[in-house]
Amino acid sequence: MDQQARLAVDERPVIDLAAFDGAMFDLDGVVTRTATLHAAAWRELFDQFLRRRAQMGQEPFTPFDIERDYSRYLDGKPRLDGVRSFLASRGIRLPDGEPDDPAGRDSIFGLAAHKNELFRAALARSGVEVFETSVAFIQQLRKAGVKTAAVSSSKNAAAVLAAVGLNDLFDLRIDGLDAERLGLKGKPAADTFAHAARSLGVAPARALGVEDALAGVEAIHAAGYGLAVGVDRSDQAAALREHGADIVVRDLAELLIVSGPSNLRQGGATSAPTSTADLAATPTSDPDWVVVEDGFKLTREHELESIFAISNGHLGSRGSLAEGSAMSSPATFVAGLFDPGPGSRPSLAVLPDWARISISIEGRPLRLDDGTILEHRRTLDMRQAVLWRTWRHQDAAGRITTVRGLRLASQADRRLLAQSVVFTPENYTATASLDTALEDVATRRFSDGVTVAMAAASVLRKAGDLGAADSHSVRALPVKFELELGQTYQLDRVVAVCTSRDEAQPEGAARRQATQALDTGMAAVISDHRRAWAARWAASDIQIEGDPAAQRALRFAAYHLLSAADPDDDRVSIGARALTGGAYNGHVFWDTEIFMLPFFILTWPRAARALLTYRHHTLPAAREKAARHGETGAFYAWESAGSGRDETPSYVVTPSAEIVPIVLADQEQHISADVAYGVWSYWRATGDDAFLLEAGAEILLETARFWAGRAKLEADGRRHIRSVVGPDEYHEAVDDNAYTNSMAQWNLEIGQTVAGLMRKRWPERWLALSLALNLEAEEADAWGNIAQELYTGFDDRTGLFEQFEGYFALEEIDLAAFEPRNATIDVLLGRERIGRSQIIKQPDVVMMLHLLWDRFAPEVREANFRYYEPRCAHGSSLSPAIHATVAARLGRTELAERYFRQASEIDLADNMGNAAGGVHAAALGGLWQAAVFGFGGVRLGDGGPLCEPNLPTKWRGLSFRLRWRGQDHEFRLRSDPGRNKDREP
Amino acid sequence: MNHDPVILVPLDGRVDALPALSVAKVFSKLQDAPVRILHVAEHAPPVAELADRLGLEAEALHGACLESLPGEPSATILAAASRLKARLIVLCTHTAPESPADVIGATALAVLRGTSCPVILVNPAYTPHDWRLTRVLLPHEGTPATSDAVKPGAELARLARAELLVLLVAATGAHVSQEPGSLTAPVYLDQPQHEWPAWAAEFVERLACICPLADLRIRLLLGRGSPSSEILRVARAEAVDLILLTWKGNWAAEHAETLKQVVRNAGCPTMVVRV
Repeated sequence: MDQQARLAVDERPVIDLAAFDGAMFDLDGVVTRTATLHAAAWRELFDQFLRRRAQMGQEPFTPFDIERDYSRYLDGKPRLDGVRSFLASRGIRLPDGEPDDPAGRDSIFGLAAHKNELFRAALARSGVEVFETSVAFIQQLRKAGVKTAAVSSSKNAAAVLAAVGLNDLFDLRIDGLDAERLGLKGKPAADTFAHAARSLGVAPARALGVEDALAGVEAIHAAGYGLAVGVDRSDQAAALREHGADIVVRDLAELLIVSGPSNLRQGGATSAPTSTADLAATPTSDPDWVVVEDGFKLTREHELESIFAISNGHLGSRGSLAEGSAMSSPATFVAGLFDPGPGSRPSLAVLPDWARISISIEGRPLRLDDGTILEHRRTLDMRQAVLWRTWRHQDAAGRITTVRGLRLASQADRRLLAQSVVFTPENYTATASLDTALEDVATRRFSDGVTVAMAAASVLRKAGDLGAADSHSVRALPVKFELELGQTYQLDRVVAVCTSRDEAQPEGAARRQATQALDTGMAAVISDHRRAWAARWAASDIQIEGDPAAQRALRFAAYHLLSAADPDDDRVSIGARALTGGAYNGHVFWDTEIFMLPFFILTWPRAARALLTYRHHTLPAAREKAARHGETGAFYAWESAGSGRDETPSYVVTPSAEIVPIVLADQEQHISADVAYGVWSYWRATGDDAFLLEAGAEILLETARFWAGRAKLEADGRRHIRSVVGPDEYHEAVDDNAYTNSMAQWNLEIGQTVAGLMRKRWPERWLALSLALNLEAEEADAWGNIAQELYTGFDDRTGLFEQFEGYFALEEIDLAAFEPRNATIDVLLGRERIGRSQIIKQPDVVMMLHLLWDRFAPEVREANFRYYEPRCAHGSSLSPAIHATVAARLGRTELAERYFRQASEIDLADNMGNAAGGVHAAALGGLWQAAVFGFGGVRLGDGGPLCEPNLPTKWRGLSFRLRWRGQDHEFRLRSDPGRNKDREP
Repeated sequence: MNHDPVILVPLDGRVDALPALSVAKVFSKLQDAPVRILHVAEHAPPVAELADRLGLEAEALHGACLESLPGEPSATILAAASRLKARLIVLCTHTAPESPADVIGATALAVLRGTSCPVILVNPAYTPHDWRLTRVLLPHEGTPATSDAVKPGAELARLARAELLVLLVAATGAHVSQEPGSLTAPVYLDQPQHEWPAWAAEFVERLACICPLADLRIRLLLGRGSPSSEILRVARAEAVDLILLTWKGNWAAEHAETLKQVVRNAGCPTMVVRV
């Protein structure tokens, strides 16, 4: 309902500039994120030390507990005090030793020196992250004339500040070296903070201090500062308050800076109404973390909507313009929620456009296509998983409006979507109206019985109305109001999406969630979201030195992969375009297990488990499909949606008016082995026996059983699999496809292995499962022989696999003769001609090499790659990344770089219109594999990941972290020019 | 004095030129724009004698204005087009025997080169007197610039309720535009059952957001091979009445090969718009 309204303000904690002359900041945990480096260095130090003592029979080895020991005994304290404090907690007494004790000596000084070495090495290896919001906050204070100081216990503070280029952020630095030189006691004593205030000429009562450590806030309090701000980075808000914090925030962006007369208490915070009406966060400034689009090109909108999509694995929303355009195609999806549609195949349901906001000035909608765009920038901030927008616009009447906004899909609470928009009339006053497409709640019931409710909670405020008695905020939209010249207005919105799959009353739940989140505050919503993403990036980020484009592309890949998965929902998997677009109808292909899953297995195993459990839920449909084909076991759907039934269309009409039958559902049978491969890879990497017993083994056994039936014994004494399509879909109904047969062979062997393993280790579970599957031990024991008898097309004279029977006799066509071209080769030459040729669409034998690498001799890998690579036309987006991976592993680094670049441009190049329907999730997974398995040369042996890197010449370093059986393995690879020399003759 | 924009039809007095008038009158009716018949000669005859001189029956003249001007033909036609704010120039490719090597006559070429308004080239050998506009072929390489340039042609198709066939030709050696927002044939065709419908929808939407297509019947076609051969093949197979082509303004040897081939060989008029 429309309403006339006056607008005001929110109630966030305020820093009144009139109350302060100086501000002092701890570094670690407040400005920089070195805490993880410190904590890791402490852990390494003490684990070595404690293990040594255990070996000498002194105490049993109890490892350093990074969560408990670090925050309790070490965080925020000077190094020597930290060593003493921790040792005391273990009842260990050591002599102090001498200040120049070498690292490794069992003395307080020796341990402290060793820790410093470990920390500095880590600093040099991985650098330091910066809390951008803290930097912005300090810059704001400095701009207002407030003096600033860094007060750190660390003796490495100068090195840290230099490393992140923030030397100029502070007027003064007091660090551990200064404290030692001046004889100042460390935190929690007041000395360092008191000294900082004195040095800056600031009275303690006119100073504020910011700390994240308990000892730190205690020191600020003890120094008599006017305000102690605690930054709660580790769920210890109550403890921070207990130790003296006047205000506790999760991020400094939650604080509002105001100046001028106020009703604040002296030097402190207030809950009195005030406002800066500004966004509760700031964009990441590091160009390696952002994808930026300046200006506006209407025809690119669909691809940008995909690239800028925000998702959290449960909800996904395209990055459409809030006000819409002639090319806007907004869509919001819920993972696993399909719209069957009468007589059609299920496709991801599209929910109402929650982010649509219309601002009209004097009745004229503010739109990019009406008037003059003075500035327009959209930024995908991958570090924070926030889509930012800045827009300055002059309408036809000359009115200039500035609009800034952010949008996110909460990673902390997957039911929430949030957006903030601030806008300022720069040169006019006028009547404005503001409307949204989703005003209150929208509920829809699908034909499969699922109900979805979207509820919105909004608040519109205006800035600079501090203490005005008649000010209030508006929570009901649409609204009409008077815009004042130069005044800034802010709209915060939280939308909750609940379904009857999870909630008995989705509408009520959605309303509650949205209102609660908005009441908690946008700053908290954003802060929680960012914290969740920080955890994800800590596990999944890849760092490349020397190649910003590759760095950005890999972060883009990881961003969309991390956005695509929901570890808490095992009823869904990731579709070909994830939740970024409606193309491919949200259907799930082999893409998930073969291209995306390795990323999740090695960086987010919980998500990998959920994805594979989806395949367990869809096992009944796979059995039905096998039965329809006259087979036993599990034949998975080529295209799978909610139920696991095969949803592959049976034909397509091409723009050449050709009706092309689609045979993939029947013939692309390797999908069953691909799923099995994912299951086995997960179990190997995690040792998750519970998963194996509950779900994985059943998949492995049923897929093996399928292949046992498909591999028919023929007169030549060999088994053959006939009439299939391999990954190379240019050739249909082929016999003995090398990839299919080799993967089937592998699947049979693993099936036999698992059966044996279960009989031996979990006989009761084996008994139950074998009874349920009607699987005799003899049947499983026979699979090894079947695998042996399976024809693979390998010619030991040439070392080549024939891709399928008769492939070598097909016409050889020189692909180079068709370059450049503006279409795929099958379009240019026609399907029939392609089918008669050796041209392949994507890696097939090369794919087999990639997956079953250790089964082939080096010369076999080399020969087959050399043979098949020139025959590949890369008609699939899955192709370049796998070629990059294999080329890199073979030492053909330059070729690998070319393919890597090609793969990285699939979504990001600005002439790739095929991203319009969503990003290519499998290609993104492939890109990650190219970096880790290709250039990083990682191989996953039973003992864990090992690497034999082949870095591109431009890459000075490559760092990443992999999780293997519960342990994190850090890889920091440096370029080695000699070693990286391309082995191409 | 202000004029309504006209459809300018230069006629040189030869009977071969008259099909241009038939075509122009169809557009005149569609656009509710007057036809201005312009005759340019060294010694311009009085307007009263012009109808006879041009061989025009009363029916052909109905609704058209005549103008007779002295001077060099192409320069005078271009000046008139500018003065009259011509929205279209309709003229024949040849009205006199030319060198077989010439695609169009010297006057037509000079007009084509000198004007920025759309030019409809009518091949007198192929164009019937009862020419009608029922099907328009738009060869398109996928750039926003082309979508923008062909707006007048698409508008004519809409007014005529004609079907618009949009043709993209996949070719070896084809120049791939780097213009942002361009859409060629799919670079990757992962799963054709999904890619083709999605690509076709995207192509049409990108065209439509620049060149309004409301109420138009559209078919998207993908050809392969030589662009000119494919355009001519589709034009014949689909009995196309008008081909819309863009031109960058360079007629020199080895440029505008597609345009030259189409103008020479198409069995229907060609509308040329500058980009």
